Formats: sequence, structure tokens, C-alpha cells
Amino acid sequence: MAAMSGRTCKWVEAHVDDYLAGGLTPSERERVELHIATCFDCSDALDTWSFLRGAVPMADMPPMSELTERRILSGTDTKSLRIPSRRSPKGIYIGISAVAASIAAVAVLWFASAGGEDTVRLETFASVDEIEPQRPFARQPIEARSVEVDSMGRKAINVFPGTTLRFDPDAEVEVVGISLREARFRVSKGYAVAKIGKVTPGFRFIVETPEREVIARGTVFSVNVDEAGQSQVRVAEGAVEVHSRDGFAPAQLVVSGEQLEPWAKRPDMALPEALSVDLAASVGEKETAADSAEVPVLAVVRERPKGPNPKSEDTVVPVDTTGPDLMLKLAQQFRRSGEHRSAADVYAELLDSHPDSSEAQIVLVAFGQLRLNVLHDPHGALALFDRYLEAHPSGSLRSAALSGRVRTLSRLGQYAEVIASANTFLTEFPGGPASLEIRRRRGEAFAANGSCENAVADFRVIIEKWPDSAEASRARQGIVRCDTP
Amino acid sequence: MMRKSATTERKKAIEAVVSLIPACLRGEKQSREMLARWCLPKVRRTVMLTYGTGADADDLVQTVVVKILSRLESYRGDAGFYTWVDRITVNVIKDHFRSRRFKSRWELTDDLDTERAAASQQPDAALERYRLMKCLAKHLESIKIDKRLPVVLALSHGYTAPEIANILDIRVETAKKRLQRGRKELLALLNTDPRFAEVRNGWQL
Repeated sequence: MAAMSGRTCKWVEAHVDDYLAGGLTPSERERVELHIATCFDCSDALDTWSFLRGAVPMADMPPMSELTERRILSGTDTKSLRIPSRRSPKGIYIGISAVAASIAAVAVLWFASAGGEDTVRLETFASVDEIEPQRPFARQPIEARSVEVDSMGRKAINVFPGTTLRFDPDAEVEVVGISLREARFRVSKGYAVAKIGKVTPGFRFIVETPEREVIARGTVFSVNVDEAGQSQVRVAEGAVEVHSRDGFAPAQLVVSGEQLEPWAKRPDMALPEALSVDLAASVGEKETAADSAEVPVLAVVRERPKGPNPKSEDTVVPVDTTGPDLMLKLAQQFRRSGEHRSAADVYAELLDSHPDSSEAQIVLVAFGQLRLNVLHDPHGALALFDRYLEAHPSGSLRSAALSGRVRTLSRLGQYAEVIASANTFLTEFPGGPASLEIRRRRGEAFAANGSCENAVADFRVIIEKWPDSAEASRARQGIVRCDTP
Repeated sequence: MMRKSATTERKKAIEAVVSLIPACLRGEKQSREMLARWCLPKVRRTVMLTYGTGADADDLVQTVVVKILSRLESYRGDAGFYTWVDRITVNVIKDHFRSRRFKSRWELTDDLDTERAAASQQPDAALERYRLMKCLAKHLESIKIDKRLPVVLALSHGYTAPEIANILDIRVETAKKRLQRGRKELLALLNTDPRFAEVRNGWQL
């Protein structure tokens, strides 16, 4: 029977698409339906595949930023369309070195200092061949001859005529790579100003800092990286797209006249009260301290290439240095600044990447509360509370998870379950901070289930013990509703 | 009735786009941009599920769009325009993977348009729709490209095995086998992912 079942499973698996498209004969169709009525695995697989086929075309993609869209569509404007070559590195750079050489052959850009006092002849920037013939995106320290220095010690790199990166004497700048498609620099410390002039369509001018990546075209902007690696971006003309190097914060468009502060300097906003109370009461010092401390900037460290042949930057995956503790702090920071979606994503990633951490326990409850109170997703919230209660039956956040469960079930109108969960809560935590509210909710659930006597009993307890509380007001309303026929 | 009108609408949309081709070939900027804009979401979806997101993926999308426009002369109308676009998209993606210079990467950026989601009637539904894509793409990443492509084409664009074979330029039996194996792998991965279960349970259209 098992062998037969295995063969049938294979047959059904091979005919799933035809079945869903209605392309089977009646007898074949019957064979599929008989089988999935008895085989849980095949039935589940068919359900899931069917769900995906319906849902995926409706699913949202991350929105494309205006700048990226313009960049992509700008490629349609050329009469002779140039497709970025993906042939071997040697092929690419032999191909463009001739062109690069001709551009680099333009000898002079006179550079005037800000004070207009001194002018210095700017050397031509090295062509791609001179930097790194095979790997333009490998790290390359700045060579002295390719950097212009003025009388005040300020330096400048001329990428193309009209396109420069200038920086202070004590700034730390690396050329990551320059080609006809892209110029990429890394500013680890100090102040730098970029000016992008007329460039070929699709060309990208990118400045990386420890925490950000700034992508620009036709703009004048500056970055300033302090000792702690935090960076500020200021745009004088045009617009830039600023990406978080660690990928947790959303990409932002910064336009002329605007400036972007380091992540740590976001306005401080209070957490929702319920979360503060529950977490502070349940988790104690650690969480409270985390809420009030300044959030450290998350730094992404790109893996330094080792050995004589470093890997191309394009194939290096950033090393993840964000542990669960920093992720939790980041999520809390997002919540304080009202960016709940960002917080939700960070929570979800933390649960995914560090499911066994102590932070994940906190997140199960915090995320549940976020989903319930802010994102209006009671089903999702319930799943998270239940996940916590199942995984940590004696955990320190049991009270918060149980009370969250009661609130969620109330929202869903599942009154019998509200009563059951509230009973558990009030047995285990009779004097807890949420006991008033839970008792009131139980009373409301009793009333909804037609058990007014029990409802009124609960309401009276609240009114007698805490007559001036908000819950007592709600309890009085509950009694009135029960008394009203 | 609904399905018929959806098909008719789709046909009309394709006819409108195909009618832009002569103007595009004459070099009219507006027509080229309109055609590029029409292709963009379709190409992005395929690239996103097969390759990932981020700056490299945007480059890939741009490559595809540019290639579509540069090869308009070769569109004879023998295949549907959708299929022709997808064939170019798939070939560009395959070239990238073949060159081994680019590995797919799913960048963990929170690109959800919070304003759009918040403005929608059901912001939690918008969040779930986005989560589904993210969850799916993450698991697709671990499936080999020869199986990944048929799965993406089937899920994202609803292609059947013969249509997939046509796009990938392989035999129908090969397309069926790869789709089957890719699907099996994907479902096995999704089965072990509690986040997918959450997304599915919370799914609202």
C-alpha cells in the first residue's frame, strides 16, 4: 500500500499543473481527487501551490525609488543603446580602456580653492587600466600622483572633467573603483564634497560611509563621517539616494537644501504605554535601560579581501555584525520614531535569524503587541503570543503574552477563548498590572456569551477595589449594558 | 464572465503596447519610455524572484529593458509579446548566472512603501503581500537556477510547462521535470518556515 501510495504521489506530483489548469481527462482528475482526499502530504502541497499561484501575482514588490526608475528609464533615451557588458573582466576592460584612456587624456582641470587664492594644476586621473586592469572594483588605495592637493592641504580626485570628489586633509578616503559606468569611493572618516557634472546616462557616482551608501547623479553633496563612524549627508544641488549599508533602514531620497542626520539622532518618542508597562514590568532592568540608552549606530563591516587576489566587491556579501541585541534596539528606535513597518521588519528578521536568542523571546511579545495595537493584525498577533507561550511556558514574559492573547481574542470576538485565557491569567497573576483590564475583558466576554451574572460579578470586583480607575469606568458601562434588556 | 473580461483587457493592453513598436523603432522618445514603463514591473518581478533586489538587480533590470528596446526590430509577432519579453529577461538572467560574477542576493532592505500601505484600505494586507514576496524570494534563492526559473515563470506569470519550454528554449519534458523538482524543493522549504505559515494565515486580498 505504501509503495502504491508512493507511486500515486509521484504521479499526482507530475500532474499538478495539468490538474489545476483543468487539462486532465475525467478519469485522471478523479484519480487525483481520490488521492488527495486520503494523502495529507499531497493535499497540503496542492493547497500551498494553488495558494501561491493565486497570491504571487497579487503580491507587492518593493517600490522602486524615483531616482532608480529615472536611471533605468534614462537608458531608453540613447539612440545607440549600450548594454552593460557582462563578458569576462578582461574583455570588459580591454574594451573600455581605450575609451577611458582617451577621457583620461584630457589633461587639466584648474582647481580653485574656496578662498580663490591659489590654483593648482590637477593631474589627470588614472585610467581604469592604471588603477586595476582586471578588477576595477577591488580596493585600491589612492596613489599620490592621482590626487591633487591644494595649498591648504585639501585633496581632490578628478573622475571626469566636471566630476570630482574633494576632501579635507585628515579625511580617510579610498577609491573602490572607477569605470565608465560607476565611480565608487569610501569615506571612513572626515569631510568630503562630491560634484557630479555631465556624465553618460546610467553612470553612478557612489560614496560609501561606514553606515550609508550615497548614490548620486548631477548633484553636489557632502558627507561627514565622525570618529564614531556616524555620517551626515547634505545636498546642495540635485538629489541623492541614501541607502543604509546594513539594509535595515529604508532608502531615502535627499534633495537639495536637505540634510540627513546619523541614525542615532532621531527624535525620541515614547513607546506605546501598554508596551512600556508590560515590558518594563516583565523584563526589568535590561529592557528599561535599552529603551533609554542612545542607540549605537550599526556598522556593517565589509569583509576585507584576503590574499593576493581579493574577491570582487560584487561577489562579497556584507558580513552581518548586527547581533540580536542591536537589532532589538534598532526596532525600538524605529518604533519611537513612528516607523512601525521598519520595526516590524526588523522584528521579523530577528526571529528568523536568531530564533533561540533571549531577544527573540522579547520580540515575540513586542511584535505581537505591535501587530495588535498598531498594524491591526490580530491573527498575526495571536500567532506570535501563542508561539511564545508554547515555547516558553514559564518564561518571564508569560504575563505579557497571556494578556496579549486575551486582548487579541477579544478583538477577534472569540469570547469563549477570552474567558479561558483570562481565567488562566487571573489565576497566575491576580495582582499584576494588567489584571484589572483582563478581568474587565473577561466580564465583557461573559456578557457577550449571555452570562450576565458572571459579567457583573467581574465588573463589581473592579469597581469595589479600584473605583477611580479607567477600568472601573468601563466596568460601570458594562453593568449598564448587562442591565439593559 | 470575469475571466473572459480579464483576458480581453489583457489582450487590449498588449495590443496597445505592440502598437508602440513602430514609433519606438523610429526613435520617438515618448513611445520608447512608455514601452519601457510597461515592461518594467513585469521584468522587475521576474528579476526579483530569480535574482534578488538591490543595486545589482536594478542594473539587471536596466540591462533587460535596454535589450528589449534594442531588439524590437527582431520581434516578429510570432510569439506573444509577453512571452518575447520574458524570453529576453530569462536569457539575461541566465547570462548573469553563467558568468558567475553575480550571485543572487536578497538585500534585507525595508522597501515597503509605508505611506502607500498605510493609505490602502487594509495596511496589514499590504504588509502581508510584501512579506509573501520576501519569504518566497528568500527560499527561491536556495534552489538552483535551472529549477528556479521554471518555478518563477509558473508562479509569477502563470506559464504552463510548454510555454516555459518555449521561453527557456528547452524540451517540454525537460521543462516539466525542472518545474516539478523546483516546486517540490520550494514547497519543502516553505513547509518548514513558520513565517510563511503566518503570512498564509494572515493572507487577505
